[in-house]
Amino acid sequence: MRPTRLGLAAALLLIAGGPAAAWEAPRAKPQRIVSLNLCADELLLRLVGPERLAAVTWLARDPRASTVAALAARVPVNHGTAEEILPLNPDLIVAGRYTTRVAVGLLTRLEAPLLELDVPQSVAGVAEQIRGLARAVGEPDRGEALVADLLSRLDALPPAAPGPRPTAVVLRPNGFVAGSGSLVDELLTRAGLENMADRLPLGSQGALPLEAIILGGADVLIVDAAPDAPPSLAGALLLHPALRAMKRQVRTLSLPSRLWTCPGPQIAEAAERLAAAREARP
Amino acid sequence: MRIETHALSATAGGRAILTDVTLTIEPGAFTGLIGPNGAGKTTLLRLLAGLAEPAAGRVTFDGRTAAQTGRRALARGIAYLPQSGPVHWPLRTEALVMLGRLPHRGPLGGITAADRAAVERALATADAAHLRGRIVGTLSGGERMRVLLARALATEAPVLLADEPVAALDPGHQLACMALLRDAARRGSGVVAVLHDLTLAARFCDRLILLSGGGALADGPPGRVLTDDHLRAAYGIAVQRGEAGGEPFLLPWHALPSPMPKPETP
Amino acid sequence: MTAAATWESRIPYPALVAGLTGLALALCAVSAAVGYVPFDLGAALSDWLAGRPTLGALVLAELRLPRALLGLLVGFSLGLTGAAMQGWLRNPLAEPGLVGVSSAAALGAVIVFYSGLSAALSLALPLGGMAGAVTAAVLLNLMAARGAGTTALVIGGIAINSLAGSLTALALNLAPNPYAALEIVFWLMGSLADRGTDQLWLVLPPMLAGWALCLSGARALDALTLGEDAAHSLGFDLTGLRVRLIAGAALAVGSAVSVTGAVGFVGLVAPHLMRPLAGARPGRLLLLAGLAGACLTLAADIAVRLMPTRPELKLGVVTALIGAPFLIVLIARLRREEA
Repeated sequence: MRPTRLGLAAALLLIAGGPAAAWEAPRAKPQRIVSLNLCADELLLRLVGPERLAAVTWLARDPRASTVAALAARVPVNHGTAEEILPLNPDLIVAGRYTTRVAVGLLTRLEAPLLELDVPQSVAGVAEQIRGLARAVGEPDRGEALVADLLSRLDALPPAAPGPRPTAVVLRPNGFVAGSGSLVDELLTRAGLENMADRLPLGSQGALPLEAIILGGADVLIVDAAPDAPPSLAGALLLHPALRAMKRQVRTLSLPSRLWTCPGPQIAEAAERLAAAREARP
Repeated sequence: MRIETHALSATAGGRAILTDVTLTIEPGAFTGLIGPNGAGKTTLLRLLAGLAEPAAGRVTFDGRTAAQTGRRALARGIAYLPQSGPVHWPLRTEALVMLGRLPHRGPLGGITAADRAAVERALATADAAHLRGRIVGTLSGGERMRVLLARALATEAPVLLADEPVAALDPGHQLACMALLRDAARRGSGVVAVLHDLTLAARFCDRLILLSGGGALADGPPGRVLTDDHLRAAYGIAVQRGEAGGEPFLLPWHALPSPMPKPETP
Repeated sequence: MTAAATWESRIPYPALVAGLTGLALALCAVSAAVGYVPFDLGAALSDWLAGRPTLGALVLAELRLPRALLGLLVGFSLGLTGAAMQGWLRNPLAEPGLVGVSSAAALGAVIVFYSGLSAALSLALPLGGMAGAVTAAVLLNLMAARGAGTTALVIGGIAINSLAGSLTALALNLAPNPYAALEIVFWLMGSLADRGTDQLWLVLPPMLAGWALCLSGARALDALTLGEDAAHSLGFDLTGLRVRLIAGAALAVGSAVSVTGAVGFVGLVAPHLMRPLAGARPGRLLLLAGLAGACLTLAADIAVRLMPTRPELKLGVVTALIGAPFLIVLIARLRREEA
């Protein structure tokens, strides 16, 4: 197992997921918290700050993937292996439900103080996760503040004009699109857009050929971009000349994936940018 | 074309094959290159064709080196028939013989009437015209050799160098092939053939070069080269001689116990 | 053999070239018409020609046509190079895929792509492919210079292939992104999915140069039928030929692989199919094998889009399904001949 890849896969897998995790009873304020997941890194750095964190993932320091890179620079990093974690003698370990499974399995057998975060599929789920984690680290007030800020920013989005809402498709690396029932889908709706992924010629499941996305005829094309990411064929698809040419005909928005890869207060900014794109002319 | 060698030496794998060979190949003569296995017959033939660089000495073609002559001019001047010539693809006879015309064709030039005529002459001369539509791989050894000979003849070069052209032929075709080479010389070509059959060599060649011990042991008309002493020294054999219709002939008769012939080399 | 004789006499070479060119262009048109989403090709074409910016025109000009043309170019490159290498090594198994030239080109392209070099300078991508291809071709040349027979050639090819394949896997594993390890399939099997005009223009010049170099060796390859000494005596510079063929193969295969990955077996099957029609003449075979390679690749690329699998099958899967039986038959025949 290669921790580097697992760590990054974490960021990607967290988009989809099931219902919220069951929460353990909150302890007294943990002082040596270790995070094994980028999304946990982001929430923890916002909730408790760097001082009480014994380690975050190496990804948290990467400004291309993380919205808290500056804070993370002050915390040691791990690569998601149990042997890195145990010597830190953590009093709380926060992991993702779908990532670093080998380390989590080992830590569970050792009865380490472990908390697993699920991948919320709605704004309500995001709020619930923030509150739950805040309780677990003994900072319920800061959790409430984060949630309140997030919800108020979402409520403050400019209202959609009357009539049919502009249709939108979110294109991700490898030709994946964000389907209905996802957090991204809800953000689109809140931003006054209509996610038309399910009505694409070939549906919204799996890797789609570009022509299915282009001929879908959405009013707004949102590219889940990480232009400075390490090169990959998956990412190169997002730079395809057909999409460049399409910009002349269709409103196109490039949205950094760090803004909505993880459920956190940063999704408010994603929604704000989406709403701005709705209003913009092509 | 007149080919001259001056103090020619050749080595292979660090071993001297030829040392200090000086000779001249004149037009209009059929020269047999004879000698025991490993004496350097093929090496000498390749040097005469300009296919290899000598270790020392030089080869000139009408007084000029191979580089001065130019690759294409040399190809038009010398036709070379390699030993047991390989044919790597299932070509048809006619297409194979046409390869002999390559030195005459420009980089983009197509096949001309002159090319076709030369191929017809070569096929007729080599008694292979009836094989024109056959795929070379399906021919018998003798048919194949004639087709390859026709390929070399099709170049219509003033010099023809042939490495063991009769080795795979039955006696009838051996005689026909030797007559053909002699006739080519009568018409003015310089013909050099590596031969193992001393009887044929003595009967058909104007001149024999006997290679042995790294040099030309003897060089001249067959009668002066194929002496008992030379044959003993070069091959370690004794021969029987006779006469038929006023022509002398000889037959290798038995191997002599000493000196031992040189070990065979590939 | 007898059937081949009648073919050769019945179909003159210019007619063969014209027929295959027509077939390749027709397959190009079919390839542009076949896609995942049905759309009005005629309307898209007239929109595109009239410069009307419709989505149909965009899909035609930026997706369907580049894909079809790249299929043509890549197929031609592989077929032509296969024929040239076979003529040069006088071995019907010499093919860019089997002898490792393609996988070495893939390695070169992978290193350039995932290191970010090609993002800085797009020309670096085909150059990387060419560097890989030329390395393999030179290794092959060294083996051939030692008089390698079929067995040695195949074993050498396996060695180059597996070395290049594992180094490609290593390079992809070291690449700092989560997709890289999944993308090894693209590089090892090849695909034309969602290729674009930028790739088309990038590889067109080196490919054309590579074709010219390979085709310029036609006469010399004919002469090589008789072996090296005879070819030399017919006035051909074999060292020059070797340099031209290695450079030509590297330019054509290196740039092809750098944008589509290593599509296998085209260079084996195309010359094999065309050899009887070319009267087995290696020089004539070049152009015919190139055209046949283009037809095969286009047909395979049409097939992957007609199959109900999604994401689509890699192109190399289909060409291997066609090519592997050819390989088995060829090896059996060669063993008979060598026995």
